Amino acid sequence: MIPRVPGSGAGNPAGADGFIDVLAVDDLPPCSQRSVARGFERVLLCHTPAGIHAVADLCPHALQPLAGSEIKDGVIRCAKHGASFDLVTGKPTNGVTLKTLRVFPVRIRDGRIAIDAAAR
Amino acid sequence: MAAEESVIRGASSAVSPLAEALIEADSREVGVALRTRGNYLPQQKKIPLSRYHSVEYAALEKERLWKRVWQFACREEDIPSVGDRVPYTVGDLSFVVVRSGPREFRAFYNTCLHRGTRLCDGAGSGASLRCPFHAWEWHLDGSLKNIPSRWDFANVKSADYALPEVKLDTWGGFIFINPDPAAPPLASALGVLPEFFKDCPADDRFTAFHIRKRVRANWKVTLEAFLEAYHVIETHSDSLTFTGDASTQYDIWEEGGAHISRLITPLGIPSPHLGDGASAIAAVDRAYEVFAMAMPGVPVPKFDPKSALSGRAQVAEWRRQMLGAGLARDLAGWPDVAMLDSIQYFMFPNFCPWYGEGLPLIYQFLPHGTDPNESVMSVRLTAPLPGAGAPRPPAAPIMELDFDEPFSSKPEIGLLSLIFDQDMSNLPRIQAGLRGADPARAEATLGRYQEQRIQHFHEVLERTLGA
Repeated sequence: MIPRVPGSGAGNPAGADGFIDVLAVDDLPPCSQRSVARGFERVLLCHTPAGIHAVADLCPHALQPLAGSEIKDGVIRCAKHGASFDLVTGKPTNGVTLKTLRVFPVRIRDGRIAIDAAAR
Repeated sequence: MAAEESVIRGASSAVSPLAEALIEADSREVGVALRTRGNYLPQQKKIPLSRYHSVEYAALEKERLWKRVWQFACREEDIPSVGDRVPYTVGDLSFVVVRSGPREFRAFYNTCLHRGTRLCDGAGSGASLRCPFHAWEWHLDGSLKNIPSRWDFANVKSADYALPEVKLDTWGGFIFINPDPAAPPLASALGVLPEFFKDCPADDRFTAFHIRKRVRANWKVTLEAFLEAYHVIETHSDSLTFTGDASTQYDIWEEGGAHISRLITPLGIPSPHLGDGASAIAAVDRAYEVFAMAMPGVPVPKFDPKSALSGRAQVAEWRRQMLGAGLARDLAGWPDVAMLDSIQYFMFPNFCPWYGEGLPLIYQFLPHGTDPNESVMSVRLTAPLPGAGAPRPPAAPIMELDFDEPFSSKPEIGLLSLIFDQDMSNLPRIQAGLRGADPARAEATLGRYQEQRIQHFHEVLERTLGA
């Protein structure tokens, strides 16, 4: 079970640059994931060997949470029905769905993770 | 029903009681309707998948179902002033429903008697019904008003050219029609509904949101996706933490020409699928969050361990106060179950009025044109009329969603849009799958308890169609 952080990030005002603080880097150890609430939506933060990624915690195939899904070589594969996505581009890497996973730009500063949630 | 058959009526866990037990434990007196159990269990039978995609079956439905049953057409509030009209279109049948007097409604075939043009394409108003092709015109009571170049239609007797009218009756602000001139009164089809809605009258509510969604699935596929909570475990897995899916109660009332069923899905308890160790407190906290989504800016409470009330009773009390204040109404007597839970009634063949404040919706499922692979689902979210003498708010206009438009493109309904989109993502897949089934296995197998309402629906449908 992936730890969830209820309320974390919800309502945090975006800075002038659009980035919203969501979590401390220390709370996201290497090779871990965390789902954080952002208003009605959830964002899945993934710490992989390539860095920290932020994607929608909602697989576009059947609109199920992605949290807890396996991540390998920069690709997350939904634990439910196997749709897989590139964590950098959000593009599907198999044929379960042709829809793109929403990805958010990530900024690390002063030990804090911020995401640009308005980015499309 | 086989008298000796013992049916397991849902699953519970240490933290997820059955709906019936929650009704017993309510902090308020629960009315007789919600304590009454059904009187019928349908025969267990597989459902041939062909009836979801066969053109012949759809044609039979048109002749023996849609031309003969009482069916929900619209709400009185949709046509608030004399002269207002809306079309009611079911497959390729279409009727125009008109407010012909301050308290008088009529429905006519939506077709001009001159050369067959459809008279009403969408909500409108006026002192007459006038064809856009040559201006043939009728009074609101259906009598012929004018034919341009009347001299050219010497053989047309005005009395013979009243718009063909169909039966219409109302209950609870709902307008029903029946094209069958020999149909028995509406009351024979409503069954227990008027009695069961007495303490939560539907005419005391208004349409706050109204979405009409086109779906690439047969109307029965779309309907049946909403008649059970069995699909929550996979389709709405993110709702398991606060939804008593397997503890849902199902009931059917079969009496003469009335075919009614109901589900009660408790909220604010974890799914029994999550086991005895699931968090009852998290379920309450999540229920608070979910209900708060409809009230942006309102602080979201948390479970109070010091309160003498149960978690569900706490959420219900908060809802009574918030809603009561917002609407200037006294909801103090409303039971927890009516403030929290999803209580959905079904009236054969395609109408679902929901009860209470837990999830106050109205569903209607319709074939779309003559393609059995397409349907239309109409969803309304209703709210109680404001108290303190405030005027009736106008019914929300219809928001149309085409086949590929998600509910999330209408963010006004919050979390509900995700839930509907989860359901919608299944429907074209179901339709595609059942069309491609192994002919030797082209039938649906239904759960004895959780899918009994679907079984019942098909039992009545078969009887109605004689097929």
